[in-house]
Amino acid sequence: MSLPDGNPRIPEGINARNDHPLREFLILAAGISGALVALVLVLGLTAKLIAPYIPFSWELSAAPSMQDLLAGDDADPGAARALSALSNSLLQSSLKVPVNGKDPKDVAPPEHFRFSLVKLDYPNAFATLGAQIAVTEALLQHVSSENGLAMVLAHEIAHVQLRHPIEAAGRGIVVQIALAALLGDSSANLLGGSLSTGSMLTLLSFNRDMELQADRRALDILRAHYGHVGGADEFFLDMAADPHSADWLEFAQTHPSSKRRLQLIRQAIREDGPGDATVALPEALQPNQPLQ
Amino acid sequence: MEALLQLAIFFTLLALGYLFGRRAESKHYKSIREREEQLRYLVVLNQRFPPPGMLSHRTDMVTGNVVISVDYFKTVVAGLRNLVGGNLNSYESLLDRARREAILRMQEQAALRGAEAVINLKFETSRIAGNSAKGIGSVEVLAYGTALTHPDK
Amino acid sequence: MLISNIEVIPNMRVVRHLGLVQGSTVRAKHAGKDIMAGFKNIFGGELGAYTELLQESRDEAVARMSEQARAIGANAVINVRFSTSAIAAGASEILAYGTAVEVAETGR
Repeated sequence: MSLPDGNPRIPEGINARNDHPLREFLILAAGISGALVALVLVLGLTAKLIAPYIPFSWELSAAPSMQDLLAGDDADPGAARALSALSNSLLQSSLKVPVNGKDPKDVAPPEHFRFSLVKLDYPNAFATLGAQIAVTEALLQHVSSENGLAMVLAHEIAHVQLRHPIEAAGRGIVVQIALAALLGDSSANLLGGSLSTGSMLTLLSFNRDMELQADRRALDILRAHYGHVGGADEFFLDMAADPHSADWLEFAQTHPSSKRRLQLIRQAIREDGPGDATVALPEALQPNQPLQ
Repeated sequence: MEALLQLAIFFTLLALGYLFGRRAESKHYKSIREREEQLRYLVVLNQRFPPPGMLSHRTDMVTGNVVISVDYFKTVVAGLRNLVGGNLNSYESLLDRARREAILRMQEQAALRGAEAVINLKFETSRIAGNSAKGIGSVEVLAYGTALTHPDK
Repeated sequence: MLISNIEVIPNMRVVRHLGLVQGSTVRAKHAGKDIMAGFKNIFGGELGAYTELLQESRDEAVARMSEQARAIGANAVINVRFSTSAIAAGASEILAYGTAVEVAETGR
């Protein structure tokens, strides 16, 4: 037994393969993104199919408070009361319009709806889990009649009655998981993190089909309430008048295909005829009220 | 817009990681091979007892360590591979380099003492904190053993 | 290839030492199994997937070590040691190293 003359010359490529690293990367990236796209599509579709069957009470218990999400102060109580009154009367009218052949009362019981006016300086309106609907104070400056505001409210009511928040939440969670997986998060964080942020996404991620669907239903609700859809385009017209304003950009980001929606609304107005005169805004909601 | 920016940052990092990482790796391998050839005479074994001819040699413990960092490209490839399962080739070459470098440094230390051989080699590998939440940040490899030096030296 | 983790192989004698050989591998299980393991962490018990992963890695590491030994003309590796380290979440490195030798049977 003796020492060798020197260390052995071991061939390369046994412990570390000499493969080109780009090859592995491309194969993996292509395969995984393909699988992810398929998965997101399938699960997104599943969310759409399942959403109508999820009991509304589950949605209520899963919903975080809208106030927490928007982090806006409470608005003037008089204005908030007036908004609630208008919203609730629209809600009552909406019960006359069936949702996909079902009674809206069964889909989303009207007593669970919560309307709030939040003190934020960009015009927008939101609907999220648990039938929570919020309108920002700044939005009031962009409508000149009750009908214009009613269109916005009816649109959000329609989202809730069509179960869009729960569908978007389901889809949001799926997309979150997919992204987390793609960016190499460890699987442990993957589940925990996505559940909490998924609901936040519902504020932002109704897609264009959902928006158009909600618009159609909102127009039906307006017809049931006022007998015509005159003034429904006020908010959009006012916003689109200045397409370069920061407000418009912000709004367009959270509400896809705004142009297409404006077309839909105006077409409805044309078909229905101008209708009766629009109703003036309740005094408490009029924009000459001091803001801030 | 923001998502686009993030995507751009991601791909820039990926490209930078690939270019620099690959250059650093091939340079490192070249230097490893050259030095391995130079130090080939200094035999490294992992048996515990000195061979019969060296029973009265002086013994000294010698160590060599190295911390090598992973590049962004390797992290991403490993992250993808982690989803599918299988060999993480990108980390394997990293560890291979680190281990050979650690042995070389240990050999260099032994050579300074005029040693003829290093026996009872052991390795220690550990992950050094860093961006440790996502894959490895960097790894440390320590190689240590006993250098045998002729008593007259 | 004879693999042993003592310094001799019974009934064999080391003809010559060839030097250090090593085999290492970093492996991971697919994400599904990682997630299942995450759930298993709640209840405790053996993580079958990871037991399997480490066993596979160890086999692979030994195979690579043997491949190195074979490439330099050895027919046995003695004094084999294993070392395991967690390299990344859900992936671990297994290193096997030993001394490659050429052995011959001792005449009784």
